[in-house]
Amino acid sequence: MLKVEGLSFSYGDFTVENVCFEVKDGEILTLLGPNGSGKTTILKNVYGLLRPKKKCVFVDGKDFPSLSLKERAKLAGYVPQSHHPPFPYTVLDVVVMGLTSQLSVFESPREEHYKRALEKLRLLGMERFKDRPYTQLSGGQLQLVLIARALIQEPRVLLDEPTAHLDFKNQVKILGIIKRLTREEKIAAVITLHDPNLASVYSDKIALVKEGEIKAVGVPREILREEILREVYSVPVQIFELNGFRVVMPVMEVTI
Amino acid sequence: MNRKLVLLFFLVSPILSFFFTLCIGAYPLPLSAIVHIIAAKILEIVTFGRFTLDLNYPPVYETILFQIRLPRVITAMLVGSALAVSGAVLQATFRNPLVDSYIIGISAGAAFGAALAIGFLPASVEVLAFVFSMVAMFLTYTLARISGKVTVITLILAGIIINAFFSALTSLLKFLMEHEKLAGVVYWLMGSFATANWNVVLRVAVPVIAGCIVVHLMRWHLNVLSMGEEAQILGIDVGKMRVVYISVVSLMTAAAVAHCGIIGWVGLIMPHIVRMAFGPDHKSLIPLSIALGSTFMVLADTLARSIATYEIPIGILTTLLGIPFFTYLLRKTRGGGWNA
Repeated sequence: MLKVEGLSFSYGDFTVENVCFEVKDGEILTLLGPNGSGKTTILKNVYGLLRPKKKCVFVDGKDFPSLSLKERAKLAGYVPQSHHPPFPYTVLDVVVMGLTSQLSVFESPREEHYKRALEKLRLLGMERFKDRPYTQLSGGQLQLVLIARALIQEPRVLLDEPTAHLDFKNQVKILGIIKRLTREEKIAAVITLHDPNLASVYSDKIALVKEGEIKAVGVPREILREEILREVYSVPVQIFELNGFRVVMPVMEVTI
Repeated sequence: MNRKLVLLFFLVSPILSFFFTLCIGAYPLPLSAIVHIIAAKILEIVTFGRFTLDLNYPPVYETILFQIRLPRVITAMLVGSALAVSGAVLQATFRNPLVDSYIIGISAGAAFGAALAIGFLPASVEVLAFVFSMVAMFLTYTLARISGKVTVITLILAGIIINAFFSALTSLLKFLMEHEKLAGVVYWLMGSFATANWNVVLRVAVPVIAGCIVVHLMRWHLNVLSMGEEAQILGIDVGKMRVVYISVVSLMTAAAVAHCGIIGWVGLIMPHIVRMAFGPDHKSLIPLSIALGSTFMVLADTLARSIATYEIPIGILTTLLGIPFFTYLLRKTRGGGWNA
């Protein structure tokens, strides 16, 4: 279980104020908000890549950012928003890098480690790409490889920014996989999204973020309301109900 | 199958080139004589002189082999390995395929330190070379860091600046130096194995072999470190690891430069050839770079000492060979990331 209690952070003009939320095992919490609202900053603070002002992030009761990088890597997986490959490593080599925290600096991964990497690739349907240079993958495939790299650690917490520049098909596919895996492996996941409808379908909880503050947090049905979305996104929206999900539509300002 | 043959060839190439180059020179030696003499010497050493083989070769053979060629060949192999491994480590550490210890100024810094010790200060040549190689590295990195980021291009540009800076300082030292010392320094700086003797072998071997062992043991983590700041989320303290690897590289480069001058481009070329043949995984890249670096350097030195009636400085030769290769790499990487 991941618990964030009053996370505050500032860098130059940008501040994050008093962020609080709780994610149970097997749940997905989505940080939803416009570009530049502070979603990535919050995730980086949760992991401790940026330093929050006080103790505020707890994984299974442990003060998470104060742990060493190695211990943190054993507890939490992080899938970064963008990735720039330095060399054309094979897909298998990239996934096995997720096991770094379990190896001493003088150790190289062995047969068993490559086997585990292969299992994770199989889980994500990427097994046949194992020997392919990962520089030759599509955006969606690369994302899956990075998710496999995060999952091989068998993390308790997953932090993911999955939809950075993926098309609709890949967004749906990857969110489906994250949903399935968090359920099956009892992982507490925090993901960031721009699209309220994807958030509505895939999240157990949504936290609406604007200008470094969480405006509301709760189950999608409570959070996706016209007045509050209008405030967060500064555009007028309408809400419909469909098969028990909330659907968010923009209000057309020009009639056709 | 094919791949395995190539791999085997890479791994045994240092041994083949070792025996090949021992035969070649102003006074050619037959291979059989070399094998016999070396075998006899080894037998004599391991049995503490109780067994000796009687060989009917002219005594000049033994003198040429033990006093001239062997120390020179071993030094060349050590320096070649050191430079190739340094290149591979720097390329991973800075996630930059276009760098080696020559391009980012480590060699120029080490040369300045060594020249300072030779001409003016009563300090150890190796120690000053190491100190100034670290200083050069630090300056290059600081200059290359622009608003918190080091890019492929800023690192190379910073390397040019630091190279120019230390080259100018070294020229100043040469200008101020006594004439008797000057000729030696000029010749040494261009890169040469001509002065190699067993004392040099020992002084190069200790840091280079130690450095190669450390890098070899830590080789897989270079994969992770090459992910840049992202390596933090894999559990690595990026800053600390960089310092460790760079210190080892500086140590090896300083040892090579202090005794054999500036030999450029080897560190750039060797790892790339290995990557093209076997992929970028450092598990294989590091040992193969060691093998290929030593082979290349021995063969290049053979060329340098046998192509003309006088010796061509090895640094000139490697530069002439390296430039077309660097041009090719620059095109292939489009001056930025890797587009293999």
